[in-house]
Amino acid sequence: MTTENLPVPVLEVHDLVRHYRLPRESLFAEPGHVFALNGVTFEIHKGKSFGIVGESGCGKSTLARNVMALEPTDAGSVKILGKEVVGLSFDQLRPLRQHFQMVFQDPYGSLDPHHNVGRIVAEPLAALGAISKTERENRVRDVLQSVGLKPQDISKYPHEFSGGQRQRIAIARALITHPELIVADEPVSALDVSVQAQVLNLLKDLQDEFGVTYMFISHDLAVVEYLCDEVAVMYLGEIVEKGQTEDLFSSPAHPYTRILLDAVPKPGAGKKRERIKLQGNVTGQTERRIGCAFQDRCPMAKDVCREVKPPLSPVAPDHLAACHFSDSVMKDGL
Amino acid sequence: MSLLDVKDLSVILSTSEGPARAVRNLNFRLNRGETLGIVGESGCGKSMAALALMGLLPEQSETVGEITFDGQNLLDKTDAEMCQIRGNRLAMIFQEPMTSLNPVHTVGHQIMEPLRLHRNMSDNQAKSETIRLLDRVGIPNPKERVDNYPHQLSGGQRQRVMIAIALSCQPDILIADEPTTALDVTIQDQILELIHTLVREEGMALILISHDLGVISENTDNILVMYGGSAVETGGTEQIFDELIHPYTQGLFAAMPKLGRARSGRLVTIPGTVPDLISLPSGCTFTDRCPLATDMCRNTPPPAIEVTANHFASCHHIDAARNRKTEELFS
Repeated sequence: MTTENLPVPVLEVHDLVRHYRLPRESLFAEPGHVFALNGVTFEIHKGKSFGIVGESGCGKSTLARNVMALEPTDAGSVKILGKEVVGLSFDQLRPLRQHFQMVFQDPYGSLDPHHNVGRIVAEPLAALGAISKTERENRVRDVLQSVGLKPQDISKYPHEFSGGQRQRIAIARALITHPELIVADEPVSALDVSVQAQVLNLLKDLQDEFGVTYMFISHDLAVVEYLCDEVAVMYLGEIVEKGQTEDLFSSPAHPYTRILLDAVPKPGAGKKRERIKLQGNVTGQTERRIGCAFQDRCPMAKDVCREVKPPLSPVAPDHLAACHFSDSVMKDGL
Repeated sequence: MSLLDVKDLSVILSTSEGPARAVRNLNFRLNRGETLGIVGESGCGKSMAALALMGLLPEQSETVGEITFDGQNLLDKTDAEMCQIRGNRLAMIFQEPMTSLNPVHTVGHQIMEPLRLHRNMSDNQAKSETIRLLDRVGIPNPKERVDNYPHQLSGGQRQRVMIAIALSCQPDILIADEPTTALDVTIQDQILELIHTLVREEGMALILISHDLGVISENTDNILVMYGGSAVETGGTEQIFDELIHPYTQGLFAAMPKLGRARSGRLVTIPGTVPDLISLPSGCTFTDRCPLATDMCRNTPPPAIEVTANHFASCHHIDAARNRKTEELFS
């Protein structure tokens, strides 16, 4: 990433760590931990989209909650527009929240069914302090228009809308404070294909119009490829590969990325492809391990992978991977 | 004679706002060893069609038409007779492995249930058969896992247990309704591979229902594309992906973000949303969203036209749809 001509990044995450304590199994034993985030570092520049992909249990949603300061962080730093948010109290955070907003996965669960659209969308404005009623109404009307809803929708209730329209309401709610950063956790995975395309195009248009920055979490690699400028692949609470979308998708340098890309079924590609299949699922969140996080499922794991943890190091310009064998993965595949 | 022959199947659900035609005039055949994919978005009637085959529709519903399975019309069967067939000769894998298993019984108990019921096994026989089945679907340590409760298994393993239950009586037809939608891509890969292997080795027929064109394209011989309760396009998988004809199929394919396309331009969108089944147009169900629609489309149901051998599309404007590529069709 060329940083010379760019101002402060919108989001800087440095060595973020989050461990959850498990309940004690016996009175005398030390309680176990879920190691959800083990030192995640990345930054997002203004007007860019940063995608985070990985299987369930890799820590993507924990990362989103920590970036949004929705739960205490164990260690590390999260800077939004250059301002540290880790360790701030609720009251200190509140005026800052207008700069970072979130869109959730489930458009049915994330809107309060008792409130009408006008009230739902206007709610984040409370963080701005007192504003006049007319100003509030104007902003609600403007933001609804920019996501493609009609002014008369203001007095309707969530149940009167389809899934795609609800997600538009959720996006409008996130946009109303004119945030710099929107964290979107699987915003289109609950939607139908034809509606998903509408919402993805909307997200792109809003970025062109308002210059918002997205941190976009998804398990769908094709969606991430479509929307994001940069991508990070997570596994067991760590970033195992990071780079520009085009580079990372065309020449993945980590075996896990390669396997994930291979696993996506492709329409019209004829019959079954030959590919490496991944055995088992993500396990090992509760143990501290020596060596590479991916060693148990990696088809090319050698002794060194079990002893030495590979650092996230450059394999090409703007392209980092954490694998001892990234050169051969890039050149010859698996 | 086909193993399964569905003729003019319609399902009408009575709702508080009036009758909803969830499935209308569906026709298809399935032979032993064949795989049929049913693809469509939510509300297109694909799950209702599957439930109609299984005789599991909600009570306030009416099914008309014919479902001939092995020479017998399933719609004429009494509840007791259906109980003999369901789970035994027709088995189904449901979408949500999290909620379709009973949380208060061990997985062993749930797999043993159809074995005792349909194959009259003793407890001991059923238990050893259960362990064999768990091993067959690729669950490690089946002897210990048999006494686990569903919450002790991961999502992929729960779906494997569902498959074990479906397989327990060696059904003739396996219906898999979105079997991998709730799973990660890598686990999806494993489960689809497992279903594929089992179908081939046991000689079953498979009906695979999915909204994902990728999943359908890689795992089926024939495809049925549904929209608003009716089949809009049917044919061999290769044929359909060679040439998508119906405007809806074209739009659905174009709207999907595809790997390797990078960020080349915008996604094609189909305007509007999936129709409300209560107020469908009397003609073609896609009328309100179709760029080619005319008055004829709204009022007259389109006939299924055979484009090439065994490849049918139901559209009044087939030539126009074929001549205009997707990008133009929806731009």
